[in-house]
Amino acid sequence: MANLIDSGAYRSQVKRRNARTLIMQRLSLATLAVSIIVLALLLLNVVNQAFGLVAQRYTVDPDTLAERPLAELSPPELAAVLLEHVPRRLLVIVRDNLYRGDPAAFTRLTLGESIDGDVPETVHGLLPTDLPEAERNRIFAELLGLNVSEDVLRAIIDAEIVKTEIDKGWSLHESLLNRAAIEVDMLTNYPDSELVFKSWLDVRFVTSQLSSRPVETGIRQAILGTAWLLALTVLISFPLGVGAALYLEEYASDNWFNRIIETNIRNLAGVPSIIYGMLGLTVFVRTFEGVTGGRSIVSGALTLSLLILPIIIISAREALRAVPSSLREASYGLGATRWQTLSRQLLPSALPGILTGAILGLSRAIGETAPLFGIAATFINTDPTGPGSRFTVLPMQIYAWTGQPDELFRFNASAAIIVLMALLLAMNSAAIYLRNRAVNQRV
Amino acid sequence: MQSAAIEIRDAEFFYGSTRAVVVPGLEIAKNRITAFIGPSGCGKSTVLRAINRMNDLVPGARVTGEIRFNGHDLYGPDIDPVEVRRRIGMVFQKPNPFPKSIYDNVAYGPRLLGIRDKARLDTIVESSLRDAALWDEVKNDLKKSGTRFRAGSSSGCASPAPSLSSQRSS
Amino acid sequence: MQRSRSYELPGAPSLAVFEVEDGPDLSRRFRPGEALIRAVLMACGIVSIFTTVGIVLVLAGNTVAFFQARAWVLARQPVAASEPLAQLTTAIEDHTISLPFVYLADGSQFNNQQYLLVGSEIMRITKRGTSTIEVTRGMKGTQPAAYPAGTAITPMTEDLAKAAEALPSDDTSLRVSTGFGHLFTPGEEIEVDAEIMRVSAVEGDTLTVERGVQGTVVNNHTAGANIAIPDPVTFGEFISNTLWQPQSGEFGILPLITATLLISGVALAVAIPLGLGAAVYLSEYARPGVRNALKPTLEVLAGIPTVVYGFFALTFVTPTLRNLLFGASLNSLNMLAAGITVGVLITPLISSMCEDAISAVPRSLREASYAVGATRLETTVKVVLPAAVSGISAGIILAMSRAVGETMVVLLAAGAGPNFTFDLRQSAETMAGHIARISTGDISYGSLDYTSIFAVGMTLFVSTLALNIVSDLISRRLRERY
Repeated sequence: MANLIDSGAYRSQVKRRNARTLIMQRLSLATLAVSIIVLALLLLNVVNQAFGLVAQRYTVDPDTLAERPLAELSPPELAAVLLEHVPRRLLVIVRDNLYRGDPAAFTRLTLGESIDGDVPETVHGLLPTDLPEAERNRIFAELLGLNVSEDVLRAIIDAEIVKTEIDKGWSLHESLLNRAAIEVDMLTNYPDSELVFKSWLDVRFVTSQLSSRPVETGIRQAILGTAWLLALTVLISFPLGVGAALYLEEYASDNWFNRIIETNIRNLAGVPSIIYGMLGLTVFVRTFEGVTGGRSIVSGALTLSLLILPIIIISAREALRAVPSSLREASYGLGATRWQTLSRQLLPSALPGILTGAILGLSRAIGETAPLFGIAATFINTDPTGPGSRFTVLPMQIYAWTGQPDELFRFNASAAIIVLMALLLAMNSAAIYLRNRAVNQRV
Repeated sequence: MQSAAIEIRDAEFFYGSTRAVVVPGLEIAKNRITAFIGPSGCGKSTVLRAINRMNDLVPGARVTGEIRFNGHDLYGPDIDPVEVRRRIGMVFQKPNPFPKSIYDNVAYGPRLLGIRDKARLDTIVESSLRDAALWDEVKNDLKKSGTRFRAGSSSGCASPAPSLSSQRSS
Repeated sequence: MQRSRSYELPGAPSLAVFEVEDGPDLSRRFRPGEALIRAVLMACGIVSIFTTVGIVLVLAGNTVAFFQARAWVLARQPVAASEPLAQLTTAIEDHTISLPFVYLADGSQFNNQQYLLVGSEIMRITKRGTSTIEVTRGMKGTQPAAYPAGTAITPMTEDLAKAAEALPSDDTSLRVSTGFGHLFTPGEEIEVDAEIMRVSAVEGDTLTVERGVQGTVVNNHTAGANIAIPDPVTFGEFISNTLWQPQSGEFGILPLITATLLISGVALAVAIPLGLGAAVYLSEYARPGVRNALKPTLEVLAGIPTVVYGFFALTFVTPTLRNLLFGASLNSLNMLAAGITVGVLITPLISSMCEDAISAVPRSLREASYAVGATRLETTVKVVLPAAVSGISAGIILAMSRAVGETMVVLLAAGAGPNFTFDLRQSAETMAGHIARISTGDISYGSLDYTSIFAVGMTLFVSTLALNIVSDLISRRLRERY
């Protein structure tokens, strides 16, 4: 025995075997490293296309608009610029920015009734149509200067007068490392344009309307649509999902019917989301068009609710199962009925777990595009006003922009992805916070 | 000799297909303290739990034979387990406090029975805690979490039911 | 010590009913609140059944409608061009489907799916190459035969059957353009401008027809009106045809299936090593600290919306593959980039399921292995992985089901039209991608094109369901074993 262990052959064999272990360890670490690198690439790729140099030109050079740069002007001065260059557009600008109501009714109301903001006493009772045009425009400019912030006014000037055009955009990576080549490209292809650094993601992008021009477009409708859709989805799926979980975990006896429900839920969790889209399109959009209003937020929320129900049910059941059985016994032992035990003991204890699952389900819903094909619009320029409105959502907009032939839309898509990921991050942080609080509570 | 409160005849207790305990015959007298003594795992808890039908909650557990409470067959077809538990209280081996304040723990049982009146609940809580000799210890902490207090087990004492105890007197 | 006693609630004499001596009422009572709540909760559970029933009804109903639809295709037949385009370079047998040929003139070219006339036999190109073409032999009722080298290959164009002269609403004699008479048989129905007619006799190029059958309205038809013949899609054609061209009545799901399988195959080839490797590292090698730091990465990958992966595939993976490996031969929409990206997308699923399977292997097995002197690698490969194999395969099958159903990545990166090819560099459309593209388009509801996506959806649903059930069965067996 001693000879075997001391022999050189044995030692070299052990060495070889240990070396193989080390190789395997490195290999398996490498696979994990690949996943991490891909994640990094994925995120960098998005950031890379959300910022960068652009070849930009103006219909009217903003420096010629006023004596001082626009950035230094006060709101009344900016309004004066508008009055000087686009007096005929002032009515529309005032209506779009200072009035919330039926656009057709605007000219039939007095300024005191229609304007949402400060209106000087002297013009309170005036109808826009009563005044001579020059006088009316002067009053509108005054109202804009009083009630609209500098940022918004500058955005209006940009859209109405300056009318920025972008001929070409470069990614962040190109902008930083390949500036010389870009400048050559600029001189040869876009001699009239100037090279500026643009952040495609900014406050204006988040707050302004969708538009068919990549320079102008924002994602307000998409964000509002996502918010509406999410709110309705929560209202529908949370009670249904928690109810089903309670039934299966606390009420259902082990019979064929309940086993079918259970198996069915497991299988539903694996149905491709596009199939839910077909279901939603046929049932909610077509068959029950009278109830849901067709391609409306309600239809979308119902479809997404069905999609995430299995997730909510499965995680809620796990949360209920994690409640110590001593609590259940103590309550039943005192003669509590099932619902008394559920509502006073189990639900409060399991709530953080249930909420975590629900948030994870919702973050699945917020990123889904496929089930909304045919239900959500790819382009819409009115804000959703209620559950029956037509709508679009962030992922749908990202999809539409990514597929556009005009490559400038890719920059918009990147910026929208960052917004979507930020929303997801916020939701997941909430889930983690709840989970940790639940764990701490139990200790 | 008073009549028996609980009678057990030819009872067999099963978990799935395993027969866990056999009780050929047992009478538990009214108004007396009866103790089951035996080594760990011999089935004391199983029998106790069967008496207030707590075993209904364990999947696969079942009882054959007869368990009578004041003459009612506890496993009869017409018996409501919730009513059984309301009348046959149970105090567990380990204290099972709910994650609530001491007050809410003690008031849990009476509240289940529909007592909402604050003054009445106060009286019940106080007298229950006095009976358990805990009042002086916790009277200033009634609104604090009961989790760390022995008072948890006093949930049982405010239940207006004769108690089964599986608490070890040590 | 607890006292067993007759209890009297202090200050609550009204509760004396609970006194034991009175003989308590233990009988079952109806609690309406409890019953209502139970019913409501049960209804919540049943919603899931309705969902499944809804999915099945919607898919099956429209699929049946699709196969029963009265689909019409324009009556057409191939007509040979006057000049041959190519000739055979070697002799062929009557069963040869790969024809070696040479073009007779520079710059000539065959078209895909084109009909050819060789001798008196009509063939159709299934795959076009530079020096060989693959064909279907003996089309349109002709007989396959052997031909010597040098036989001319004449391309054919497809001519539409048209009304040769105007057809007033009171006429029953329809003259069709020359040479089409033999296409129609008595008893057959034909459609001219939405009016359906029944052919009662065929004489040369003149058809005697019964007007306005199937409740259609009798109309005047002009000369040159197209004549359509019924072409319902049969199940056999659906699963064997390699062409999906709704506009010409071709509904073969094979190109969608091959693209789906190819992309899923690439995805699994990427995801199995990545996912399994990550699972082995996390469960067997990583220290707890490292594990806690690295595992969230995979969870983040799992949480990224699929449309973002689609963006990644289109704007990063394809350009990178082009720059590094393939150059311009890689189509800007291609199956390879889509497959790789779907692979990354399903990696977290595989790794988490494999990790669960690996950690379910009892410690005792590992310790037994270490005790006889095995290294960590030997223990992993020879003991742990074989013991976890059913869990691992369940995970892989589930991931495959996910890959098959993945929509956004393939829609954005793989292609916007069905294409029967096995070349990963080409664009092609998967089942899910096709459904998505058609649902967003403006194809009218109820048309054959539209119902066709439900037949595709049914195929997709059944295949993912089968994969999920298999995965479920395997993992349940795993649970039973430990």
